[in-house]
Amino acid sequence: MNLLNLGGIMLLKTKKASQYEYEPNILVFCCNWCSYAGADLAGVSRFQYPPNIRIIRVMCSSRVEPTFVLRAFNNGIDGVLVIGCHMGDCHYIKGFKYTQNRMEHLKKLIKYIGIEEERFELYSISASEGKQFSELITDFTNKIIDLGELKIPKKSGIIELDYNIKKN
Amino acid sequence: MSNFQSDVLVIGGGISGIQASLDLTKLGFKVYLVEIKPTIGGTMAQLDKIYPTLDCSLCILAPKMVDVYRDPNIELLTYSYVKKIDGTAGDYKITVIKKPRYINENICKGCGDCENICPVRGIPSDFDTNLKTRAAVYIPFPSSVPPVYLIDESRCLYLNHQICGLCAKVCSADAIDFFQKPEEITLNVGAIVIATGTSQQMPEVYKNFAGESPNVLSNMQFERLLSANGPTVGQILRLDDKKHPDSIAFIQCVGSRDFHHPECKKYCSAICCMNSAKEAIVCKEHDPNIECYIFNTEIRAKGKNFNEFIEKSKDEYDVKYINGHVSYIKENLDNGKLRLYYEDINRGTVDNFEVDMAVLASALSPAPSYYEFLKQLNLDKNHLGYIREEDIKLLEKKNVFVTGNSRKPNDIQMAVAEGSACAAKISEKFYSLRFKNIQKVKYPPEIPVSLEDEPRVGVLVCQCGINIGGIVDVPKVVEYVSKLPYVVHVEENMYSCSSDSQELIKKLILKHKLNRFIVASCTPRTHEQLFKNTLREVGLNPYLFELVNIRNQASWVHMKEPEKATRKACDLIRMYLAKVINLKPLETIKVKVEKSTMVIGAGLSGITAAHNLANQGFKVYLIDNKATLGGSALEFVDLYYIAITKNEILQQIDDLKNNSNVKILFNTEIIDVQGYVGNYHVKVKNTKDNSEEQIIKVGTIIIATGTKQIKTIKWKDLAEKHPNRVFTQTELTGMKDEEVPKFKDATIILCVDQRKDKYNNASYTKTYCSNICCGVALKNIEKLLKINPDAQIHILYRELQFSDLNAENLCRGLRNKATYERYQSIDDIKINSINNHFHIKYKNISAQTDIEYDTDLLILATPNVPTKDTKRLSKMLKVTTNKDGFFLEADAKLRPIDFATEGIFLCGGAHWPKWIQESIIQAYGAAGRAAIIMVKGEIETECITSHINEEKCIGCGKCIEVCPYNAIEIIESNKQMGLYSMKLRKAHIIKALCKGCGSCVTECSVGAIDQNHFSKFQINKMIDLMSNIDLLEYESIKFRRNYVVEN
Repeated sequence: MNLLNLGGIMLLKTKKASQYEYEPNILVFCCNWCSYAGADLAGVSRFQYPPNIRIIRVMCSSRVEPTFVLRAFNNGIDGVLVIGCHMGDCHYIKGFKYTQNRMEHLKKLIKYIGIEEERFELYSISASEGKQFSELITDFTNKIIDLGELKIPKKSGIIELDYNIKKN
Repeated sequence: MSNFQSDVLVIGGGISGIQASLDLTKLGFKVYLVEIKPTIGGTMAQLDKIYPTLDCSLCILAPKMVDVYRDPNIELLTYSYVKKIDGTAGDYKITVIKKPRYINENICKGCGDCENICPVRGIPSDFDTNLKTRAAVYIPFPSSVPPVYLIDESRCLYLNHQICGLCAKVCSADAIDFFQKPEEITLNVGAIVIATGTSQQMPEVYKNFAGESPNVLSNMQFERLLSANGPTVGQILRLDDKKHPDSIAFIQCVGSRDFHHPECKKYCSAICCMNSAKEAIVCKEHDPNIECYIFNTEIRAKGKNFNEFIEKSKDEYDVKYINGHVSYIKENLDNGKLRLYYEDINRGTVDNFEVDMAVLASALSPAPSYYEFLKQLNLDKNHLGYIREEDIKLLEKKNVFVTGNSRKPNDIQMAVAEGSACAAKISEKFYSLRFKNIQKVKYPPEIPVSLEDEPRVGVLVCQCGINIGGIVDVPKVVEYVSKLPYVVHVEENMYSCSSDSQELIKKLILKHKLNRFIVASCTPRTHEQLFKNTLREVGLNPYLFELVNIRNQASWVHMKEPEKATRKACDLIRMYLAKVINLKPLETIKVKVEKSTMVIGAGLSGITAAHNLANQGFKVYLIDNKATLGGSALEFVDLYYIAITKNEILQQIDDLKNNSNVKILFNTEIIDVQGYVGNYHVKVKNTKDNSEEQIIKVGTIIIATGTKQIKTIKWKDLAEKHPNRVFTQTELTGMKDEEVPKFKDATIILCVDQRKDKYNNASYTKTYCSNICCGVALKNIEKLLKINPDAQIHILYRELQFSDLNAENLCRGLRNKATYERYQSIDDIKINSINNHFHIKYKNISAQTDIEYDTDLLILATPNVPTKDTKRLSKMLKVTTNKDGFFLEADAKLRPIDFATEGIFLCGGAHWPKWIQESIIQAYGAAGRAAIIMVKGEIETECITSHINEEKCIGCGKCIEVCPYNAIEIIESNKQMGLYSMKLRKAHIIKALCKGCGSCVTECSVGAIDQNHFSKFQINKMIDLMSNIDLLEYESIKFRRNYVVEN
């Protein structure tokens, strides 16, 4: 997999690693109605958590395409979280159910590629769970720090996958 | 009518008031929403979870609260009360007093600096039912609406002793105003909605339940304890020693259904059984080792699938139900536990028992302010403390409507339906005054922006006082952002949300010819709309904007790491820049709506809805497969003493027949339904006269197909052998007095073939409770006694699901006329037919013995099931049914009469077997909801929708499977390719139905679908730019693609 195609980000990572102590980059997808509101509540209540996450807001967690997660890993991001609503809370009736099915498969794929499957998780946070949000982020960040920097193994079976990611 | 005012006053900002307000503005009326507390939201905002879905309460309520706040036609008057109501029906003069907050509502940014510095602390917080404390300057809860603080005048040091004033010093917005005075506001309104809601008695009232102990909580206090933002942050702890409890007792009927104590209520509070079951389940979810006991006289789970919820709590969560009344609780001072003394009905013993915590299901009563209104309106309360039903009718004539818990204790679902019903009733009365006082904002013509244009981005980085600026190094962020590509102008300011900042944004856009804008400040959930409106005011498409959340997600959560927070803020802005430069202007599409409705089913619900809509000025097609109006309810209506009388229904039927807006189609069946909201094409056929099929075009459809009672399976042989001695309840109600055979002794058996549990688990038993049988039985007792006053009547029951306000009175009134006998398992009842009578032998659970007697008549309460058309209709209309075959609403709580498919509504027995009064409320509600769609003659579609690239689509139909709103259809066409013709299948998105969740985008395996505003390209670019990269490397990342090819 030729990572250099995507703008030399990997180059930077090696440079970064030598200059600073290791800081993981974590991407978080939040749905607009529950988990994003939970993240907001964590802010309002001043529950502190490590500053390594970057949240991308989507309307529903079912919008999160598996390729987004793969692309993130491809770009050298160390961990990805998809946070949706609790079962039954979904603003779009059953969006989270679809997310669950898809992410289950994705986890298997990630393992198959050779990335530690703990680097990717699906969670549920409701709009009133600010505390839980901050705890979740803290735990996940610590887990990623333990796992260390992402290393994508060179494996022959993923060339097509790489093509698909780049195509979009 | 001409001198009527068109504005409406809604008193009370709980869920019922919120629903009424939102529906009213959509129907074209300006609303003044007066709330006595500093925030709207009411009781529902305090709840942790709601039953039976176990959803998070605030999650589903908060969006509605924000909607109220944003609606330009709702004037929100919080922390205010109505002092005087003058004038006559249609022209009321209302005096409202706005209490001083001592904080300027328009300037306060809700940052909380004042609260942090306030030296007066430890004041019990009303919102947290006194379990949590607050400062003298406070906000009830973080997502309060309006999101502004207030000063408690009784505790503030400055207001009382002229010392301190620290809050004024730290407030960088200068919002604090110690010299505010109560403000008197006069409103002229045509109609009033009273939605003052409910209050719950606190445990201190109940001395014999050790109410003063910190481990004895009320239902509502326990709800706060469970809540993630409550006093223990969602942990279940004993409040005195902060220990984790091993056992919790829930005690039902505390202070309600009690005729002996003057401080207690004589009625059933209706919601407590379900509420306690829910709390027990949530407890078990927190920690499965907590033992939960529910002490109850009988479980009253009245509502759709509520019985299953109770059974679930028993089977899956191992919540223990003890049939018995707790007489008193004593604190055991040795071990700090609570000892309950109770009577066990099933064993006939008196016992005691120790638990760690007790939760009292205290009685619900009207909020204190309620009685003020009754006084204002010269009305008396009845002996139960509520407004009389006769008075409600009189008030409605005077354009005053009572809703939600102001009428009687009710759950959220009914409060929502009733809010919508009030809106429908007002719209019926004032239909000619719609849109008279509604504000319409005019925007300048839009500046054309296309993707080929060079992006010119303006960025505003907000300091938010010290909320952002105190942690994030804003000048550094500004410097960084200024170096990013496509950024034309970047600036920092103090409060981006203030009105002068809006002017600044407009000026910047014009001066620098900006075509995209980013504000880096707080959360888009509350503030995005504000900035979008600003963009529209200057002629820029509102979808060329992004709000970057650097307060809730950077400065507030990384207070100890300012450097990293700054870096995060830079990263977030960079990511959103990648999105904003790839955004496309979006347009709403207007879809024309047919101003007509089809009401399916001409029962009571159907005629009520049709009557209301016809009077609102819409064309109504009322169809039924029979040739009568009124349905089965016409026979039972007398039971409901005051809700509505038979004469009133007959009057309504006459009105309908003479109304030119109504077309009644008897003996008619629906054959096919095509189309979508606003444009349904319904094919109908008359089954009697074999006439031609006709197609009717309607905008909305209301389903009111009702319910029917089935024959018994358990005693099938008996019923077939003695058809004139064994009846179902409905059969008896439908009979004329002289048709009933002679009898001396009659037996009504309740819960036949329904309410499955471990004692009654025959395969044919329905799992649910039909809800109405217990009430209908009362009617039948009266009927039987009228025929033969000397007759002996037995009622064999399991639990009486009868929780209406006056039900307790009715039941007790009939107690000495009929004997109520309790059984546990229907298999314990043995019936033999001997000559002309039946010999019954059953095990009485109260007496713990077998009882035998002879009876002449058997009346069975068999289950109510959906009518036979339900399945066919659900397929044609593409709406779902639940496992019992009843129609499934969009959301059990907040959308009880809507379907997920827009434009189709539901009421009455088709939803669930229910009381006539509730059916009528739902019917009005459904009519109101349907009117909202039709009132303007057009609806605007969502902008954030999906779109399909037809060239890529292979017509597999996967997207159709995942779309929760049935918004995707397959269009088949023939394509001529030279000599051959090819059949093409392409998916097509109906914009009017798409809600923009994006499920289909992810599902599509060929990448043919994409979502507006959250496109693959936009999100991918955000991911690409997330990594921490140096500026030098920007050149190598392609920010944008060549759009000339793509679009």
